[in-house]
Amino acid sequence: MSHSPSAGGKHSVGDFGEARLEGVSMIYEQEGEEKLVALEGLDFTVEKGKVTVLMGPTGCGKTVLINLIAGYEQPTTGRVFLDGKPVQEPGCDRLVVFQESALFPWMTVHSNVTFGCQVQGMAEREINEKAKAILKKVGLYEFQDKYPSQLSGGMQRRAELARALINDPKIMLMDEPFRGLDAMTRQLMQEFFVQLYEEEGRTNLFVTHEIDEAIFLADRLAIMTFQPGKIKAILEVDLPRPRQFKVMATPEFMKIRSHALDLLYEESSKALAAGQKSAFDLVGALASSKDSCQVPQ
Amino acid sequence: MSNSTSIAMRPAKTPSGQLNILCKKLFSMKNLRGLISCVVFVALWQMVIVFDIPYLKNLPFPHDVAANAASSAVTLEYWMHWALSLFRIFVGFIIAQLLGVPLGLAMGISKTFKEFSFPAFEILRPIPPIAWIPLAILFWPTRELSIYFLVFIGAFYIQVINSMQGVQNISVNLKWAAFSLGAKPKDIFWRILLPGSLPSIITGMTVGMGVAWNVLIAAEMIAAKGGLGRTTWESYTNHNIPFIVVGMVSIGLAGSLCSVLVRWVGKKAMPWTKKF
Amino acid sequence: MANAKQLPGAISVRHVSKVYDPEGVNVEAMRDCTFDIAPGEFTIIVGPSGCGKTTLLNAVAGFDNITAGEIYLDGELISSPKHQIKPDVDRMVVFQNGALFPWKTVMENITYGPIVQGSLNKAQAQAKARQMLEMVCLNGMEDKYPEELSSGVQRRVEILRALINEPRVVMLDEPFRGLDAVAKTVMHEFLMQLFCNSPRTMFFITHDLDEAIFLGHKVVIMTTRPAQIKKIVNVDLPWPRQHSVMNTKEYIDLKSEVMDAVHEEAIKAFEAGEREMA
Repeated sequence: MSHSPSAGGKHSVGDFGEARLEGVSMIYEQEGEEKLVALEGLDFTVEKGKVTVLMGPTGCGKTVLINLIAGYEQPTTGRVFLDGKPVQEPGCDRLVVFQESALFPWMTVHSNVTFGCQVQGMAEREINEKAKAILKKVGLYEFQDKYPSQLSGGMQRRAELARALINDPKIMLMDEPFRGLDAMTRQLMQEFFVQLYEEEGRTNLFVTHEIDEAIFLADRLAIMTFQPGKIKAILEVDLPRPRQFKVMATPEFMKIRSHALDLLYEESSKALAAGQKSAFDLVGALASSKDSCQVPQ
Repeated sequence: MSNSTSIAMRPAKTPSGQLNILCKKLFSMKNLRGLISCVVFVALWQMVIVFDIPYLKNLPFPHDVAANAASSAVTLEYWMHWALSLFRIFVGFIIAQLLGVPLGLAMGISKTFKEFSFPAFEILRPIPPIAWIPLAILFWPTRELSIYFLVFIGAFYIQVINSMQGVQNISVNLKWAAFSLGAKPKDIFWRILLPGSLPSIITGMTVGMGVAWNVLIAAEMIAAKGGLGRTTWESYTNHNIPFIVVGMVSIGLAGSLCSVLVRWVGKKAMPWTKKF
Repeated sequence: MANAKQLPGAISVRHVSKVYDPEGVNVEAMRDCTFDIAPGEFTIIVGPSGCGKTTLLNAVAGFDNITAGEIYLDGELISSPKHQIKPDVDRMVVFQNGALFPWKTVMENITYGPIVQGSLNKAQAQAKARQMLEMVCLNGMEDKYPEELSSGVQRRVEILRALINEPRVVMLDEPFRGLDAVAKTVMHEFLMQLFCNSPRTMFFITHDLDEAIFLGHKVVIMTTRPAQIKKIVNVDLPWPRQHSVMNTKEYIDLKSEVMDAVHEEAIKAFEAGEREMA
């Protein structure tokens, strides 16, 4: 079950959570259809105590990678380890924050957040103490008796973070957690996430489509290739911490941004060759990429 | 965030302010238009009779119906019919839920069970409940039992299908999240699958209640002693035309009363669906 | 602006306020907003969610009225509490969640407007549509149905459908929301190209600050509700712009300026929202 950072004394939460994938392939076979190679021969390590962000074209297997580490799916070949131990089934040392909120709609915020503790049979008094601390931390203490549908999108995401954090996981698996939020809320959530990370130093694997989000949050930015999914490149994002939103308006940030965009272009154009609908967006890009448009007259 | 229908300036919560809002609501254009539609309807009804429109001239006058309703409402007999119909509905309906929900949930949870049971179920399901009437009368020792049975049939299939889909439609993410958090199969059933399928179950109850009333009225007209359907039919044979209309309206009222009740139960059972 | 040609499409917003009054509960969406959009100017509106940006768009488009002030288009009063002109093809709106007719092909979608208005016959409309599609590298798409296109291409077709009517003003309400980073970049280049080829007044609502500065002549920043003009930032970067402009000092300084203003409002909006829900 969950480890406690205070119990050992000398370990901090950032000393755990190294997820390693060795030669992982994931092949889906459906009757009557061509088999889909989502991942192939993937070697990848999520370094402990860091935020690793995954980007790549739609359909490159980012979510599959999350599911493998979470233990929801088993790889066709290869092995997945967490801190050296093979991953076999879901567990509360690796918690996922899903794309669309996966809060239980029929439970109040408090019941949602304490669900893990309850099913693990923790004592009620201890549960309530923990819940209070974590809800205060995410600023939802006054909202603990509300149902998810009564909360704004940003609050829902914070509740979901709290539900994971209360179990003190070794690694947080964030599968586009801020998708669907409006841009303002999204930015505030990013700042909240950065602050939380900088306080705790917990290992994070974060999937996103938003390039600014990716660079703002990341220590390492991994860009994946299109089917079969592999790691194309890993950019070290050495922007100083603690980070403020203003970092997005610095030359260093913009430099990493355009480098990452170039890499993404390449992959998306491969997706185009593979006939992906979404990749048609690139026709224009490749045609006019460097010499935009002519001035009239 | 403030993307809800939030409010920048609220009027002071004084009694006069609230009264003001209440008046505005009460005399809103919407309510006024609604009133007009009712008045026009009654006026048209009256005119149809006054102007001797062919085929429709046998309609009773609105005021005759109203008088008949008023005199019926003070008799015990009239209310006995109500009680009989409601009792039949509830017996059939509740048995349908007690059997339908577990069966549907089981089909939704276990693929193997579904593959065993669903095909047979699908052969019987398309038969309209009313088509069961002759067999039901032959089959059951008393008329009363056969009516319970027919009401049951009306609500049962719908509930099975809805419960099954309710389970199947629960997002896999919710189940995964629960597993990750350490939930065991019994937690998954009681705390995820059951509440997660509740909205669909309540929909099944609402729709089932409507069908149950259809079946009940048909069955009563053919086979019952007493009940709202029967008494309406009997007033046809007795040529008591105003009471036919009273009976019809009573059936409508009883039906909507039952669906209000179901919706109320749904609201109580699912506090999470009410917003703000 | 970029072009000295005599263009129509000057918008003047004068002391505009809007109070919604559902069932006697006042919601003040906008308060005393005044600003001008020059003809052929690419104007970007940014501000917190639900701050009344769309209210302004609705008033210019003719979907809704305002409760105080006036809005003029080329000197003609189009919106005031007493006077509200109807939606018309000279003020086209492109919505955030696509409104292409799914049962029509790309060609039929684009030519629909001019044909029903009778401004062009079918052959003329098709020729014009073909030319526009070619200009933005979308030729070959004519006979496809929207369903067969990616959302980015759908958005582009929708913009062309608006432009074929040669409106005086094109209004876009977060048109690229939900597209990924690469697709957005493509859309920006597409718009840049369209704009260079036929400049016209653009009224563009967005949340994306890079989008705002990259595309805009002028960025109007609004406050949280009730929406007021917080700041107007003129973007003096040369046209046509390429993405490399984002690495220049001028760009980064502008971004920093806009970001500060928007962030301040976002936090205010957030706190107000949190208070309201408690």
